[in-house]
Amino acid sequence: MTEHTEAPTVGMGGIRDVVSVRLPAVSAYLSVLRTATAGLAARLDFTLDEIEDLRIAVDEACAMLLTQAVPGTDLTAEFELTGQEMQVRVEVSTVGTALPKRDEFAWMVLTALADDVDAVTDSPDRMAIVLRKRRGAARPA
Amino acid sequence: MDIFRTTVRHVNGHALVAVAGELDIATRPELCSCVERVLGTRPDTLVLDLGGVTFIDARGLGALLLLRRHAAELDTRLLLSHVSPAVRSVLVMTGLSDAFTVSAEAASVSASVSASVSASVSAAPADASAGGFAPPGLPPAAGGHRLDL
Repeated sequence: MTEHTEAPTVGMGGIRDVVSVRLPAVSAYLSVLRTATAGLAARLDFTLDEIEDLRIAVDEACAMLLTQAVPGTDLTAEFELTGQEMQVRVEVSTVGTALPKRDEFAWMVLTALADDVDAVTDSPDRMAIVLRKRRGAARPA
Repeated sequence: MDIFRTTVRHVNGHALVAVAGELDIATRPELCSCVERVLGTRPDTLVLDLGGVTFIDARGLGALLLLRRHAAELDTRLLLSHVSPAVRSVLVMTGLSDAFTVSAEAASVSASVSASVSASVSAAPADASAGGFAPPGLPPAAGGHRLDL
């Protein structure tokens, strides 16, 4: 796993931080990514409940992508931290793309926990899910 | 990161599988193979003690549903005990809060299994009644009830 912060200052006062994490696209590494997610959310002063929501949301997004990922490739996660919001883009290499099934439990959980979610399938050999969560937002019903 | 582990105990035709750690896409096969093995012994009741589960996602939940179905096919009752807030909230999100039975009986089966194990290990039956799996909050009512959410 490699991890680097492209802007050294925490996103206070409108400063934008981007953290990229790259790890093998295998399920055993998901727990590592969940831990990274929690650590980054804590930097934005998310509440414990919000941190847990993000941890699960990122996990669900990745679990959906892993079923499509080309073996031996990497999963990348890009976390963008602004003052009030975290945006997470997780992406894998695929052979062809299939939209996530909206009736899956994973999609239900993901959309329940994140403020918004987009599946990005405009490239034939990449698939990404982008989710955003704002601090202090009520959980969507 | 918590190490995922399962602990199996049997007593009087009942089986208790205590699950600990994070239940996700990576650890789900381990849970399934463990529980399928236990189901192969055809217990009357199988209690899944989720007290040690610190994380569960949709794949973990899917495993519980799959195991519930296999148990039903074998005429084994599958009950949950010690459903943590983490597990509960994912059940609610997926509309599955009524899909599983959490019963006081599950607690007493857990307690008796745990008691018999601690009695045989420590030869101190006087302490055995304080079985480590008995949750403090469950009412002593007989029979199963739906997960109270």
